[in-house]
Amino acid sequence: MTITSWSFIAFLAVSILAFSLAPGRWRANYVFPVTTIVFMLLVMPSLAASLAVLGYVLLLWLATIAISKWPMRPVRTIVLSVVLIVFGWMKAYDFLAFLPLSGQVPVTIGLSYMLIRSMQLLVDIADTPSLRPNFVQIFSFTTSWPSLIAGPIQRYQDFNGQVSTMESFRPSTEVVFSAMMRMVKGFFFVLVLADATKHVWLGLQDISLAGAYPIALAGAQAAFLIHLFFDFSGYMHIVIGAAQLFGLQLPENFERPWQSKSFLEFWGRWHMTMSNWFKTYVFNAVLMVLVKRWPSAKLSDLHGVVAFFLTFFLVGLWHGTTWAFVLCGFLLGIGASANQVYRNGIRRKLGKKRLEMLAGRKLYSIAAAALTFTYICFSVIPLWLSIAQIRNVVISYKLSGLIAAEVALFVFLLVTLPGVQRLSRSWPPSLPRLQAAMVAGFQCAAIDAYVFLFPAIGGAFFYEQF
Amino acid sequence: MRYFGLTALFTVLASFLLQAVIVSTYGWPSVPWPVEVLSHPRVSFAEEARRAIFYSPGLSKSKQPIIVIAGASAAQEGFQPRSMQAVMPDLLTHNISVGGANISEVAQLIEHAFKSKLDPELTNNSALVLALSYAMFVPDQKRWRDPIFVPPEAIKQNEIHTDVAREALRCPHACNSGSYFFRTAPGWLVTLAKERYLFFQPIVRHLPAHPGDLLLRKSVWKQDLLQLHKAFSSTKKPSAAPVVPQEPYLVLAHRQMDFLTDYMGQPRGVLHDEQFDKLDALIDTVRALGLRVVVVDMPLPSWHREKSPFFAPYQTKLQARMEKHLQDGSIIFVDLTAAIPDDGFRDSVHPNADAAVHWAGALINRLPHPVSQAVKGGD
Repeated sequence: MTITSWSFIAFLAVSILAFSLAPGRWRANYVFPVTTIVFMLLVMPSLAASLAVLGYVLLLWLATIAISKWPMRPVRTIVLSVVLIVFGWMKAYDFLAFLPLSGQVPVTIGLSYMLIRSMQLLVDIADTPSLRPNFVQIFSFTTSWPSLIAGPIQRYQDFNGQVSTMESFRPSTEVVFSAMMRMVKGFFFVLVLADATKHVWLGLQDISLAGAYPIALAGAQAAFLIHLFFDFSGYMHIVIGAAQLFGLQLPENFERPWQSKSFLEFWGRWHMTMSNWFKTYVFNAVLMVLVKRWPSAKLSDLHGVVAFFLTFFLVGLWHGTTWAFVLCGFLLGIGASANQVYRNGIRRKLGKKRLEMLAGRKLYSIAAAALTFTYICFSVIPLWLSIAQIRNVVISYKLSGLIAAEVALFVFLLVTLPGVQRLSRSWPPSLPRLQAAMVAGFQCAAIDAYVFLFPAIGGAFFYEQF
Repeated sequence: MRYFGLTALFTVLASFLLQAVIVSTYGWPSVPWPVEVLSHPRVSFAEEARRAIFYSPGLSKSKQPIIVIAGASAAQEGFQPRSMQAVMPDLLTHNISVGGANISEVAQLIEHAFKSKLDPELTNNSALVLALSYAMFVPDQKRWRDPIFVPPEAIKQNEIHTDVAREALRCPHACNSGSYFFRTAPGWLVTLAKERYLFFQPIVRHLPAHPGDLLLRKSVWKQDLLQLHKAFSSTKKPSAAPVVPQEPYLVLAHRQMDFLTDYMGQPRGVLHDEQFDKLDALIDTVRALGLRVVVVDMPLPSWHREKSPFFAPYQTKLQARMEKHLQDGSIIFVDLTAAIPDDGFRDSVHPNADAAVHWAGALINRLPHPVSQAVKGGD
């Protein structure tokens, strides 16, 4: 089952019916976990994959008990390491191939998201003695079906707070309408816009791999990012809308990312829940360690740069299991730390006032945005090309070809971004209900016509693989 | 609920609006009668597969006994309804053959054609003609993963999709014979669900396979950045393609036969059981529907029969398989392999324009009495 199929609509309808008919106190303890199990069985590639996920949740439950009973630092470190190694083993990381039975673990979906949730839970349990979730609560949180495949990432405390209100939840007309509009918008994004851009991206990818064609390589990079935006944000609209019908307010994952004028700002607007998680649990922790180890004020800028590099390196690594993702992490880390170095340097050189004036200049802000997106497109190339393909591109394009591709992309963005940013500022317009219903109706008809006229072969969510 | 209703209302309105635009531009979509999926000029196998999916439900509306021809391109061109009618005016023949079909795809065509059942009285007097040749026994793995016929994006996927199955993705429930809806819903409902999309039929062939194709076809992607200004300022038009003289028939035909030999895959001359098993199952399925089954071994030029490494093994295997069905009287076997002289072919397998009537005549003359009587309306 994919989340854009009729099977998902049927699953949703049956789940809503069960949720509405069940006595209030059953909803959080029985109905929601059961719907999660059913969802897992429907989306996971095999029964073995679902069992593997259940095994992981069981391990997590044991880990929470261990940390609660023995909150000492060494125990916490050992438990976190065990969970991380088991995750790496299940995820089949290349560099953990020496572990026994590696390569024989069933392929699962959404494991990276489960890891993030479980790490947060374990860290918070260690810091908050009152936090003592039982097995069902841990299962519901870690594998919660609306965010099982690709997030959004929510803190356990927020999730549990919302789950506890399920008992008295009565969806108002307002909630149902808003949920429905979001889901329709999500389906439109994924089935129409993401599909159309995916084909362009894959076509340009084929052209750019067939020879040294810098313009095609530039086009492929831009098309990939646009496709990823529609694919991922569309998915978010669907699951956030669906979760609303069960009384869950999932956090937003996108905040007008096209408005970004710097690399770091971009990650505050794109996949926000992941960025916030890494900021809280990795960046802050790394920074604290660095400050404690080298407490000199002169080194504070360097601390930030190193912390940003490590954080974004891990962001890349978190996405996948191959060396391509190590490269991606490295490029993201370079981007983040370079952004930080520039920010520190220019602030020191110009001062706050002059910097604000400079940032207010149209040409500067557009050039900054174009440069930002050029680098982002470049740094995520390992998400769509394997290491072998990247090596071939480097050999065939040579440095001059690669620079030409990035210059072409920069020029393209310089021309198109102002329009995109203007549109993104006023979009989506706030519409009265009647007009919103009209827009949703036209979106449904467009999906129906598009799917018939341009049938897609395959079409899993890009983020499903993580 | 009010706004849910409104959204539904606007969906319907938008759909009607779109359909109105299509109808006013391309006219009211019509299904040919008798049903025929051959496209003139032959655009693509996908176009024919789409026609087969959307036109075949019309068969159930027949008021007289019918003959349905199912096979590949040779059957499509050789047994055209018009040619069949020219030989026997009372005969109502439908041809749902799709170019390049193997037995797996023919089985899918039959599922579509007989999802809506014929009137029981007509069923007993109607017949399905399975028009076979060795090229239809190419294994699925070879036929539907071969980059010559299958689009690259389809090959990238692991699943094997026939042309019919790929066209079925347009309406995955009503058009996909493997879907839960198709298998469980009554025939009239499946037909209704398919007919909803008839409006799109006239425009599909004018559209690229994907909207992005228009962008991808631009030559700018392969331009050298430094030479770009020249490309934009150039006014030189490409010279016309040189006229290639028509090759003599036998040269062309032999080349096609070589192509067919490669098409069948390795090892040369070995036909796997996969498609023969599917043929057995297909015959059983059609018999269970109550239709007569006529298996036709299609005509081939004498030199093709002699030179193809696959022809002799094919005939041996086919005869062994047909024996069982002939013994229990479930099929009628018609051997046309040598029924047409070599000058009736335009290449290694297809009839030339003048010979199509002879092909139809050859089939009708060899049809056993009960079938030819039945299709004339007698008993």
